[in-house]
Amino acid sequence: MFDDAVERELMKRIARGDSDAFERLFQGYEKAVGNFLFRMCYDTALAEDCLQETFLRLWKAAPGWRGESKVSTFIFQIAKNLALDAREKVFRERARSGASASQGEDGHAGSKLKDVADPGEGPARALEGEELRQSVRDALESLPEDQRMVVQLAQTDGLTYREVAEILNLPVGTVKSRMAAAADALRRKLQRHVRN
Amino acid sequence: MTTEQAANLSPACARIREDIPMLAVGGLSAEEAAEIRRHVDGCAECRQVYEDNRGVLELVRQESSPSVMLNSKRVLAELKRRMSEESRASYEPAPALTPRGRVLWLAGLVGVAAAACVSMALLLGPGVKTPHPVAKEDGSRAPVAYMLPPGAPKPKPVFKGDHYEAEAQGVHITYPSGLEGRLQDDARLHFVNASALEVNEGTAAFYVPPGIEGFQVRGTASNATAASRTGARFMLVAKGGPGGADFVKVAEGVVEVRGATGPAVRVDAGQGTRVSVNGVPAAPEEIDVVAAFDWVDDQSARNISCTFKAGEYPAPGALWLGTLAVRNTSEKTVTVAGFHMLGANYQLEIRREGEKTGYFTKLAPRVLRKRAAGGNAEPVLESSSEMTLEPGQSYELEVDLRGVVKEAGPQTLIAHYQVFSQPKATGLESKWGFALRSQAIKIFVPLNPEKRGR
Repeated sequence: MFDDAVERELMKRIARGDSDAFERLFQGYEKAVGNFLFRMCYDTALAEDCLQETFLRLWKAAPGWRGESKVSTFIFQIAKNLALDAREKVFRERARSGASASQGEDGHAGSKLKDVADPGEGPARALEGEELRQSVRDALESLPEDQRMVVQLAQTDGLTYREVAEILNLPVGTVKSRMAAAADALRRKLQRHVRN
Repeated sequence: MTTEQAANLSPACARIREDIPMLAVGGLSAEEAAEIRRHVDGCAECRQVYEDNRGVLELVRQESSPSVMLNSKRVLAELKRRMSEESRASYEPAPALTPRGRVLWLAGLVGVAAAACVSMALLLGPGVKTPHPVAKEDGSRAPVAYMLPPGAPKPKPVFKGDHYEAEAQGVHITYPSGLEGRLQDDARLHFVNASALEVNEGTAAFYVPPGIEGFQVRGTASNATAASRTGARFMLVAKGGPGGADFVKVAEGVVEVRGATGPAVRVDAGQGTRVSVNGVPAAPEEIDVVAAFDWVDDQSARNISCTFKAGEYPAPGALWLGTLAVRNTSEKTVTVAGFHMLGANYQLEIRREGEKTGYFTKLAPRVLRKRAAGGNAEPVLESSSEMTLEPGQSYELEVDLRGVVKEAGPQTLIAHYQVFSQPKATGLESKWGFALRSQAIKIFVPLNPEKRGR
């Protein structure tokens, strides 16, 4: 993410068809938006598809963008809508296959263990890590949709709660109360992992 | 935190307790974070709450993030491919609607259209037909613009991909961005998207207001694209000679014209250029702007302004007044079409909160007034077909908004003043009339207003 004035200038250039400006904006946001999208669907391929679609929509919308909101807000509003659609898709597909929606990347729990585990760790530690990951995802999935969305956006680097409120079109107070309720629920479910 | 727990907190703790999770994830501004931190550092109970929140939210962040980074290089490469493909698709010429004459494309916009800004209602009336109602792309129902032919009873939307043929003269196009267009009779259009337009045949003029960049129009005879810079008035004329040529004429601002071959040529205000399939001549010619643009009348429209005011929602039984004012902002006397006379149209656009598309309702006046520059107002009759305004004078149309805004909640109001086919619309000879739009104002209608004040 860049300074607000820089981002607005980039959007103007993108509206004129400047692909360099587009690439620069993409590189500034791909990590934050990609992580947010992944946390919404737990599927790497789907998150990449949504990331691509987010920026394609931004490119299409740029000539009509009137600068009434921050560029970051605009991007995450697009991403949020796509993420909700992606979640539905994940739920439908995994309901058919009998897997849980929070199961690991691409629906294959444990398939990424070899990617994440330290080579020096034994199988027991790797399994422990995967169990922890699954517990966290299950705790998140147990939250009401509106609270989970606030948590995932609030944890995105560079977004303030005011921006979260704007992205979700909610009053700031509502965002705060949802975040507080979500944090409380997560703490109750995951406290033993934190203490460990 | 339960209600009981909250009741046991000190006022200072209660005030900041909901901010602690946001502090823990770094979602507060620097000033807010510093203030909360000062309290947390000095309060053992809040510090414990902060530590608990920080621990669990950090765990959630770590464990819900992707274990493998997304392949952003692959995503970007695919994006560029799709952008290139979709761009080409946007400029695919529309099918010819009739075999007559050469086809002129005023097409479209660079850039791309915007799902985000789309949405107004287009006024499409009896003078406009849709020979080829094209299927809407992507299932989107967001209108690209409004069209308003003379005498049209209501605004109607035009969608991306639609084709229209204007049978009547003076069809008016309004885009959500504030961009406006006029069509002469027999002009045929293809709406590429919110930023792009193709004119298959005829003459079309455009006003691109300040702040809007990159509007493009393509003429199909020459396959040339005219891309405006901000604050431009220009037209594309489909009267090309042998070999397929179009003309681009600029009244205000700067337009870059790019032919199918050769470099882009800058055309400044007061200049015009012929464009053929062989490209654009290097040097634009001087043109008679008044003669070229007199049918558009967009210059005279700038002599008057349209504003709208509304009071707070009133007590039960009281009037809720709104006032549309048309004011002469120039230093010379102008004549405007009268209120609610044939050819003049006063409408209120009402947008629900969060929506960029409004619905329209015609304004019925409660009181009509003429207000002098100094502020004194006198009633006027509705029977006048033309009204003369001295510099600074205005006509006011007062309405009771209770009969107009019928939904509860926060809404945005925009007044529209449209004049068609008036021989002397604004003091300059005008065949086509004009349309003005007021500033947007926000209102709030209580859910159950009749209970207020009881």
